[in-house]
Amino acid sequence: MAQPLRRAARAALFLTILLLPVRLGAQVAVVVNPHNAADDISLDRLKRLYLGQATTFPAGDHARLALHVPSSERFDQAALGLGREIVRSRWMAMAFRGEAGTLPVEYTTVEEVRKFIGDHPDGIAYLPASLVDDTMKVLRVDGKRPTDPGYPIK
Amino acid sequence: MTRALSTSRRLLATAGALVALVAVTATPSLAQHEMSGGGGPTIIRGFTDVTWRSGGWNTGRNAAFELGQFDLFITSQLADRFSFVGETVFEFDETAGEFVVDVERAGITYAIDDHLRLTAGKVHTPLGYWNNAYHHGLALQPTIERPLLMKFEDEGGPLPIHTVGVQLSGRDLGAAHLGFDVLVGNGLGNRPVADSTRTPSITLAAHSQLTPSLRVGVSGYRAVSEPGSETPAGSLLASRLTQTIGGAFATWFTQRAEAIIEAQQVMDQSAGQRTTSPGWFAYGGIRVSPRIVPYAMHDQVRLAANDPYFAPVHTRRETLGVRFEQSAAVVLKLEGRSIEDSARARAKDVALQLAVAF
Repeated sequence: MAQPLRRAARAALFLTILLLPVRLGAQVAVVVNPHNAADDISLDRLKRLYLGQATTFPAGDHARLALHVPSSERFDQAALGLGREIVRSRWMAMAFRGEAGTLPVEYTTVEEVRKFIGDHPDGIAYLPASLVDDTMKVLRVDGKRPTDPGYPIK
Repeated sequence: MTRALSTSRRLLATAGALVALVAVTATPSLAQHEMSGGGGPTIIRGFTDVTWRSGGWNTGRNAAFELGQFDLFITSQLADRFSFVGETVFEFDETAGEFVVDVERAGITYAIDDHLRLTAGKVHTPLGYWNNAYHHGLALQPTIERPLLMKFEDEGGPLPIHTVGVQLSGRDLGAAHLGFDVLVGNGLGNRPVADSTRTPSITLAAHSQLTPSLRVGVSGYRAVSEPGSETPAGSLLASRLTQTIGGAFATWFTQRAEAIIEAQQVMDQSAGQRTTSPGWFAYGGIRVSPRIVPYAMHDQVRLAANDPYFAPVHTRRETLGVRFEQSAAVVLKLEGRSIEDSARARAKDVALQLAVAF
């Protein structure tokens, strides 16, 4: 009787370990350079930035956009309410109109995002919350941190 | 009946061929071709399309394929704050019987700051929404053809679609996320190197991106044309003409729904006579799956009977279509259209278009 219980406990522990990073990683964190004065950004402002309708942080400083490609589908759906291809199409249209001065830079690895944020005091990007380290500042979105209940980008 | 069946078979065969082509060639990425420039990268993009039209049904055409504009679009970061946008179109001119080249846009922009830009060159006149959102690359446009109101000048459109001049633009200003455009340029006739009058055209436009999905705006245009100037009707103006255009629009774009409604009214004043020519269109689409958008559009233009500038005509068109977006760069559209004007019987046709960006 004790043997099956131990097996079940081991299986539960294994599953918990396996799923924990996924659960933490489900939230997408919005990150900026540690020297950036911004601590908070509204979801509306974030939408406008990543749809090319705005180019500045709430305080008026220029924002230079980057994105983490593996997180982009989740971010576009959760934060922008749009599919990835629709967002791409919007940016393409803006570039074609001559309105998009700089397209968001696309990075496939977290290390590249980390380097971008470190190199650019005006940089803003997103990546899985579980992969953020202390070289980046995580912005609250509508006053909520990625670990808070009701965080909108997950 | 036999003819309809034959047309249907041809349509199905063409649709099958184009769908197969989309499936084989589509890639999810947007290709860019970069070359080193003086101050930054020069990016060349291109657009083209192939359309099959059914003909028949009083259209006066045979079923045929149509090679669309071959559009080369260039952007370049020239130096700090200076950039360039150019768009050159190669298209078949039926009158000339050969391919011709048109410089559709060529603008040098100075970014004053994040919100203000100054552009000199040939631009799309900031009248309403459609004319600034959709240019010559049809992969980005929701329908196969532009609304009647927004047809290009050389296709008989009533509005000054392009203007050569200087434009100051503002975006994302204040809590209402206001934008504006002030364009001072050459007048009616869109001459790129000279103007037939000393009075420049002036375009004023303002809009508000009220939410990330909803935009509303208004615009106005005023220009004069001197006696002896050629008109779209093919005649020469007998007296000085003052043209004033006023319009408004609203757009709504979400994951699920998209809608554009826009109206423009042209007022021509010449020799004490004043005429009014209104036009409007409404477009709506529903995304039923990530790649498929059925849509409908109604548009009409009524050019006044005694107008000194336009040939009088009242044209109405209804469009029902479906758009298949393989990616942002590969789009297939199928439409049924019904069009009638004051000079011809109602004509109907079916069109299938494959439009790509590369």
